[in-house]
Amino acid sequence: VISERSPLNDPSLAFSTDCRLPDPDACFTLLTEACRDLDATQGHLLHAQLVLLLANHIGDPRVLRGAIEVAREGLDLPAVASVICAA
Amino acid sequence: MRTNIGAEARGTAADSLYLACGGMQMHSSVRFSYVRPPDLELRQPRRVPIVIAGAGLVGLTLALDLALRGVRTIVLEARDTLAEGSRAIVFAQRSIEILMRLGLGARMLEKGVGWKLGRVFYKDREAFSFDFQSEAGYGCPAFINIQQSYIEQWLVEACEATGLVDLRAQNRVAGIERHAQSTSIDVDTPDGRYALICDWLVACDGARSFVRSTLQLPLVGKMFHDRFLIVDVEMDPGFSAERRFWFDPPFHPGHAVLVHKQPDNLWRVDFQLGPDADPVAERQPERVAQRLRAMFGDALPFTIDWISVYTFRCRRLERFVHSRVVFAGDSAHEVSPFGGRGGNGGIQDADNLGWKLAAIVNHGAPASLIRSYDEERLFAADENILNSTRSAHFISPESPAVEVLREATLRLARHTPLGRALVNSGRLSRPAMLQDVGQFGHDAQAGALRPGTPARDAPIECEGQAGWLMHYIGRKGFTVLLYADPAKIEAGMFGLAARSGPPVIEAGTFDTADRSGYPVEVIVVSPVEPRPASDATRAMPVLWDRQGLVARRYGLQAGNAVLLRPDQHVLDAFPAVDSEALGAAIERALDMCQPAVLMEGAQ
Repeated sequence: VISERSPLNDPSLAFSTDCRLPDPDACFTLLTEACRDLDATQGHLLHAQLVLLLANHIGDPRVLRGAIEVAREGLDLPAVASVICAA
Repeated sequence: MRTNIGAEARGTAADSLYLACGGMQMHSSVRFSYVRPPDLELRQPRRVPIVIAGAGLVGLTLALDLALRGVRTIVLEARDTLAEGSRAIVFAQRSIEILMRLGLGARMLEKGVGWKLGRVFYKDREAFSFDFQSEAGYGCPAFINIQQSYIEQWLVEACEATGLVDLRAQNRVAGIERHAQSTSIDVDTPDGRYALICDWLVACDGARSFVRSTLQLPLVGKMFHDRFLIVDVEMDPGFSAERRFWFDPPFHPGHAVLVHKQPDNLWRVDFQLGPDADPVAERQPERVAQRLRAMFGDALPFTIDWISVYTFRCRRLERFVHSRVVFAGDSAHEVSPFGGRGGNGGIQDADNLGWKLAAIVNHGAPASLIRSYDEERLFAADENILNSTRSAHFISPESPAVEVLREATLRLARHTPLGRALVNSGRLSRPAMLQDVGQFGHDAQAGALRPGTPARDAPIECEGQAGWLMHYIGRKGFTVLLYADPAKIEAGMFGLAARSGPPVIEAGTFDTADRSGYPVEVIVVSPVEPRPASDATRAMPVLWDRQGLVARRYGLQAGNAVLLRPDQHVLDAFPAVDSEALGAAIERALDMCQPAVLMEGAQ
C-alpha cells in the first residue's frame, strides 16, 4: 500500500525526511536487533537486502532516487550524475 | 592468429585459438570460390545500385532479402571462407521468423537446438529457473541455438539460388570515396584492383569495419575490461537444452559461467575470468581442460573444439546512415554477448533495411526513406546497448559495494520473486517495439496491437491444414490482414474493388502499381469456419482463426484490418477496410506522399 504522501500520488512532493515513524526508537531497535549478531560482511548483505525489499515495496523509483540523494549527502558525496533508470 | 567473435552473440573478440581436432571438424570452413571479377577489364567503373561490404550474417541476410525482392547486389568479402568458430549461437524468435521469411526456417528448426528455459545457479545450488515462452501458440521456439556458420552457409546457398547476388570472395574493399548521391569503391583482388560506383554502400563489415574506420566515424559508448574465456566443447554432460548460468559456483569461485547446448554434440562454455586474467595463458588448451574438468568432473570425456578469450564493448555509431553509406550489424553497434543481442540485432537491421532499399532502387521511393532505418535501428540499438550494459554491470560488479548489492540480490532470488526479477544474467534478445519512432506513430486503435510492434504469430487453419499466421505475413511485401467472415466479403464491399483509380484489390493484391508497384497482399482471417470462396475472395488466402488467438493477439473484431510493413511490423490498425486510408498509409510508409512542392525539392 502506497502512502498518500508518496510522490507517486504527488510527483511535485520532494522526498520526505521528516520523521514519519510513530515510534522511532522502536523502529531503530527493530533494525539493530536484526543485525546485532552479524559480522560486517553479513551486516552489509542484510542491509542491502533490506534496501532492495523496501525499494520494491515502495515501488516508485523516484522515491528511491530521493533516498539515494539524501544517503549520499550523509557521506558528503555529490548526487549521482546520471542514473540509467526508467523512472 | 585467427580472430573470432564469441559467446551468445558477437561480442568483440580478443585472440582465439581454433583447434583442429582429428575426426569431426565442427566449424566447417565453407569456401567461396574466387572468380576473377569482370570489372578488372573495364576502363570505366561500373555503376550499380547496391554494394554490400561483408558476407557475414548481416550482409548475407540483407543480400538474400533484397534478392527475394528482385534487387541485385554485389557482396564484397575479403576472405574466401566463412568466418570460423561458432560466434553467435543463440537465435531469438524474431530472428527465426525473419530467417523463416527468407526460406531458412525448416533447416533451422531441423538442425538447431530449440530451448526456452533459463536456469540460474548461485554458489552450489539452483536459485531459480524461468520460461522465456510461457504462452503456447507460436510457430517458432523462443530460441534456437545453432552455429552462425550454418546460417551463413545456408544464406550463401540461398543467395546463389536467386541468381541476383554477385558474391565476390577475396574482394577486399580498399578505398571509399563518398559523393552526394553515390559512393566510389576501390576493390583489391588477387588479380589487382578495380573500381565500382554504387548508389548505396551497405557496410556489414563487422566490429572492425573498414568502411567505418575509413570514413573516420567515431563510436560512442563504453568499454568493459572483464575478460571472458569461451570454449566450444564436444561432450555429453547430460544437460537438457536449457540456458545455464552460474554465479560464483564452487568449480569457478568468484566468477560467472554460462553454458549453452549447440547442435553436433557441441557445448558452449563461457567462463568469466576477471580483468586481470592473462589472455595468452588462459588460451592454453591444458589450462582450459583443467577448468572443464573442475566443472564437469574428471570422468567426462571431452574434446575442445574452439577457444577464445575476449572482452566486449557496448557502443554505437552516432548515426547509421551517412549520405549514401549505410551501416548494419556490428559495424554500427557492439554489445556484450550476454543476451544474444549482437547477431539478433544485426538480423533485425537487415530486416528493416531490405524492403526500404528495394523500394528506393526498384519502386521509385525517395532516398529520404532511408531516414526511417536510421531512426528505427538507432532506437533498437540503444535498447540493446542499454540492456546489454545493465547485464554487464550485474555480471561484472564494478566495486566491492556493488558486489554486496549483487550478492544481496542473488540471496533474495532463492526465495522471492523480487530477487528473481532483479538478477540479471543477460536479458535475452527481444524484438524492439518501435513506438513513436521512425514511421510509427503512437496513435493506435483502442485495443489493437500498437504500431511498431512486430507481427505476432498465431495458429491458423488454411483449407483444412493447420498452419501459422506468420507464414503469410510479409511474404510478398505489405500485408493487409482483413479480419472478416469471407462470406460477408463481396466485390465492392468495403469500397475495395469498386473504386476507380488505385489502390484497388485485384487478384488478392492491393495494387499500388501506378505509384510504386510495391506488392501488397490481402489475407482474410476468418473468425468462423470459412465456406467455399466467393468471387470476391477467391484470389485471397483465407485463414481460419479457429482458436481465436489472431483476434486476441492483434486485438481484432470482425471488420477490422491491420496493415503490416514488409518487415512484418504493424504499421496501423483500421476499424474497417478503407482502401483510401490503406493506400495513404502505404504511400506514407514508402515516403511517397510528400506534397508536390516538396517532391520537386527533394533529391
